[in-house]
Amino acid sequence: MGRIVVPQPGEHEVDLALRVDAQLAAGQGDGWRPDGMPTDVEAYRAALDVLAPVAGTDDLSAALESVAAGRYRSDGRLDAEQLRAWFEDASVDLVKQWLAHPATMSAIDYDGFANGGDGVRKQGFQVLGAGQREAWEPEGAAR
Amino acid sequence: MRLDAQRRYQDDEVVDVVVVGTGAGGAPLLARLAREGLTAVAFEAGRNTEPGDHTPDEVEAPGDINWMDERISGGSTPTAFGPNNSGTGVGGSTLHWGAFTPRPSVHDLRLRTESGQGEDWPIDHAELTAYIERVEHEVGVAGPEHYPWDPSRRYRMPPPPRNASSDMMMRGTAALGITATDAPVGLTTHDRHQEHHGLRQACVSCGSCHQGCRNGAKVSMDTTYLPAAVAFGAEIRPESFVHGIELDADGRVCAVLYTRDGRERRQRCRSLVLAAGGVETPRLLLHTGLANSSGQVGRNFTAHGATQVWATFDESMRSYRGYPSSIITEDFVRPADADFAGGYLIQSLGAQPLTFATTLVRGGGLRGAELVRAMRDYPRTAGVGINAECLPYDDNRLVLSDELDEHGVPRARVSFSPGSNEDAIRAHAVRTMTAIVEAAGGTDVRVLERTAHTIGTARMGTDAGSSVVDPAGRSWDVPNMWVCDNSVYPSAVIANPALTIMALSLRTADRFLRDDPAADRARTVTVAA
Repeated sequence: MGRIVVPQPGEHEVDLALRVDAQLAAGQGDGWRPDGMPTDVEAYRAALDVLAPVAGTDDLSAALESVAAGRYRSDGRLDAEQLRAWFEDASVDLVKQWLAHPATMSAIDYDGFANGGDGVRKQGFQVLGAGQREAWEPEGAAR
Repeated sequence: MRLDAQRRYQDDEVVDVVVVGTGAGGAPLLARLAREGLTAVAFEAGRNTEPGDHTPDEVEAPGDINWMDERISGGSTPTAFGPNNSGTGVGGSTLHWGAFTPRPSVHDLRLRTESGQGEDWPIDHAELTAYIERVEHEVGVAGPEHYPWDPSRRYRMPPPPRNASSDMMMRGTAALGITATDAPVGLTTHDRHQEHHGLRQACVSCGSCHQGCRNGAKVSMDTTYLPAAVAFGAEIRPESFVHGIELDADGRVCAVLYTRDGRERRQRCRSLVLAAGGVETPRLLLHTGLANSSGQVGRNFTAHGATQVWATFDESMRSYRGYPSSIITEDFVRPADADFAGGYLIQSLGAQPLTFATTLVRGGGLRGAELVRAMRDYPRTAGVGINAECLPYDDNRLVLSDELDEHGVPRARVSFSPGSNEDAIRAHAVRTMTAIVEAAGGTDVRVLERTAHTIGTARMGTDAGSSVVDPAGRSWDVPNMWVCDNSVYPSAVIANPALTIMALSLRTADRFLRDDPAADRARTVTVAA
């Protein structure tokens, strides 16, 4: 499913499922959940059960499109609207885990994580215009 | 902030005032009352931190400064909580706020008079503005030398440097004949000695305002009003969750019940100010059943329309650098061709990558190759966004769910669905914003839906039957209970809330000290010609 929501470019893939699993195990949510949904862990379990028959098959992609549209027919513990809401949450989790990896940050030319360093003054940016870079910044992907 | 030398009060000591919440609603009032010699304890559910404890890491920051205890969000467009609009910690939501400090328009305070919809504020615009000027002076607000929509206005510090997104918005608005300029922002742009706190270094344009300002440049209560409050003898009690309010035989608050270090405790007091924000304040009131003879607690929940329009540009923009929202236009406060009540403000946008991706998914419905492509284009992306009026509707409200949190208090359940007025504003704003980014040279335009802020759940009004607190912020039902945060807002006001909340906080403190309900409740608002 991670490959469908976030089809990662390049040869080296970040294992998103592993990271989302760890996030759920640590109980890290986003401070809210849609009305009518069980907790994140329960929603993931139930939704993955619903999708189990198509997991790993060529039908998964079409099934997820149907889930995203709120039309997936389910006889499991989540109805179509619950599945849709879960898939939105899961998509956010997956894309965040992809982006949080240093290789992805490099690929999207993001070095904002490097700010705030404790010198005489905190590290920020003095050069802010389009097409401009600080001397300390990596060159970034050619764009 | 430093709390090791603060004065401390015993639980059985009857303090003059207990304040629940240390954000923009609680802190200015706490400082003012302490300065007058009142004994005061402020309760804060979250931790105490130093600015240097914060991290720009978007994965770690929410656990540091956002209210992550789960809330339930329903309606046709559930509003996101957590990092989107909910803070915690000593300083409250000012730890994560964006520091965008437009002043409220006189039109917004007279919404009902002018449009026939929503509500008027029972506060004179000139009076509120005087308090706002005091706040701007006390905390340090930067802005342009000339403010086009209010020529007499003065800011004492120059605005922060513009970034690529700012240049883009200036270019696009200029091409369309829209007036835009540097936004008023709650940042110190030069090194500033903050009384009772110390040095606040000038903003270094790191761009991580929403993750917590590491050098104290951004206005935050823990580097401004709270150190003043402590200097004048107030106590700030972090990691202390208030879940109960005790009344005496006369129906007056005599104590609050709270949990600290896993122990149940009770602080005695002569009066109580609730300043826990638009969700936690009504939640506590509904949980205790107090101050709700009007039935209005939890009702009138509004959230600003905060739709964003992004585009891709030929050059590298990297608009995560620099202060994120440094340009404003007030040209659409009341658009001439409006087919709706109210209006909107437009600001330039910068976004950190995880926040941006979250909005792409939730607000744009992106998945798969399109989502990945949008993030690959992230360095060349810049955008603009709005803060728009929102009318109250019967179904948009906060109630208690039947699910309990770790303290045994029911979780909040909020329902939010925009109405036809919000849809009309949004359509107008999307047309305007699309024109701006396209005039600036943007292509591949994306409209992302979002709502922001939690407003209006313990409304202030002149009628005890239809409001929770009187025009001073005092409960109509419990004479020594006050509410001071964005829950008292009679209408949403398109200016982002924190500056106005701080001003209301100083005003509520003055009303508290004056202690004259009859005067507070006399209808004295002058209607400008």
